[in-house]
Amino acid sequence: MSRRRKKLAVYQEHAAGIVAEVALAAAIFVGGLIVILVLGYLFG
Amino acid sequence: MLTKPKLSDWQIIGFYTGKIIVGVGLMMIVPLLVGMIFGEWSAVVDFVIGISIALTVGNGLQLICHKRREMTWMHGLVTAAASWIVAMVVGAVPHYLSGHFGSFFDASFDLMSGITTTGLYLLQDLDHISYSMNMWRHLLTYVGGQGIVVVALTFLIRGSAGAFMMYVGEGKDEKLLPNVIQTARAIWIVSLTYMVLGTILLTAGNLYEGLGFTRAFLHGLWMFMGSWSTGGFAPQSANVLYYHSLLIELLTMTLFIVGSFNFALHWAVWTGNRREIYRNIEIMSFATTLLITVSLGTYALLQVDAFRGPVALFRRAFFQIVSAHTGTGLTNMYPSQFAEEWGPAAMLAVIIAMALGGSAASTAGGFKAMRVGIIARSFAAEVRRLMSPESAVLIEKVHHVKDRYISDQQVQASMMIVLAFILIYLGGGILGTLYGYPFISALFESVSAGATVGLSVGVTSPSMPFGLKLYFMFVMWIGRLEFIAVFALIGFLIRVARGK
Repeated sequence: MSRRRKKLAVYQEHAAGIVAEVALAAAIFVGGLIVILVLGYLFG
Repeated sequence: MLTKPKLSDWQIIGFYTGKIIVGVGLMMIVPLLVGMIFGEWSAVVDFVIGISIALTVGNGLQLICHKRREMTWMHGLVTAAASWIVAMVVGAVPHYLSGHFGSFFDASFDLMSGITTTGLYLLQDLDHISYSMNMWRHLLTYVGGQGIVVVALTFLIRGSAGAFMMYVGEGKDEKLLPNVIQTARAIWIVSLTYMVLGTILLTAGNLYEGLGFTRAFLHGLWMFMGSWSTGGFAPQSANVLYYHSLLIELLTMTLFIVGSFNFALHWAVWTGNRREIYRNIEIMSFATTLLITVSLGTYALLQVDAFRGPVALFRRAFFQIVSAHTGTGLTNMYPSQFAEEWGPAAMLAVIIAMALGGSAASTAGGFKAMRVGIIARSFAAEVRRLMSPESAVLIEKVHHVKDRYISDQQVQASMMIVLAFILIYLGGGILGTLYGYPFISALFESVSAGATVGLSVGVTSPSMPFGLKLYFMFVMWIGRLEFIAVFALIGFLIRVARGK
């Protein structure tokens, strides 16, 4: 593998990592919203 | 018998502290350039004075203390603790000269708050400070999030044997890569990549909300720094509320959630180990305690009917509790609303979230998810042990990048640190009550300072009693460094005073 391709593969790996981390943050938002909706329905 | 430190001990500590002071001075070049670009000549003079003092003191210390000797653990820990104090004093010079502080002490308070990523401030008339001063405030919080020693390791200290000791002294005890200098650089790769992405997105968001390009960019950069470093500083006194924007709230929330993750987790996920994200003990612990605190807070707010509808609850309750739990301190409410609208039960949910904090080896403070996870696992193990036959051998493990077995020593160390945090939280609560504040408000502010969060109910202000300012400064420092380095410094000073 050429040096350029190796570098590109590293960048791709980093980008996939960022996507995974942002997806986790989004999942936390959705989880929070579900908790609020359920509690709002039960006690609101 | 206590022995007095030798001259060579002072020289090693002085030499590396000097390097860090030079680092603080070089950092001031950024706001200096901003001042020059925007023609803020008064601020430019303030920063020239600040740089001159930092470079003179820093280089002077290196010159006087230059000595080739290996650093010990004691040197590393004492240097880490002392350099934060010296950085505070030197960095406060432009703050004080700006004329926005009642005293040099108040300016030092803001410096400590900035570098420890707390976000409480005593600055007066925030909405009218110069661009360069705003850049300095946010740069401090951004760099403080990574750790000033990490900065020095990356740019100023190369291949030193004592580097790891200073790194540990700063409250980060994990190496992402075998070499501590490479670890410091990896931390910067993650932080700078997010800085580029976060600033672009926040600038776009600000443009969408109607800000002009220059302000959109600067606010984007500063809000990124305040969010990612879980610092909580914002360029306007209304904080995130200034933007009245769900988009900005979602962007900042994403950044401070991701910013509160352990750098070891970032590096594992960034280098292909993506399964780590849902196996990691810290993520599991954080998600569980966040679920509990959001549920508590939401229930309490529903009882007092503070917000109508799920969107209002999400934007206010969820934002505040996530900001508290990640140790950020950004807010989209006025401080007085906590006491006037939220009530004690919802405030308690925020206090618990603040006390718990984010991940170890991250920009966040508090107990840390790792310790909460280890203690929870050890409790569960104890219950299992009681239900198992006497001859059974039970081994408890947690997953953090790799499987790790929990030893009794680790559980004890985690409990000790958690207990120490509880003591500093309660100490501030009691002290504030003695000064005449309601206990819940004093406790809220004390936990906010000790866990380096920065949310406020309005106790922190220029008119706050001197004793409380001093206490909050102390707990920001000790909380950020997680006690050990500060204890080492205190021990060193006791040796100076009483040693033979």
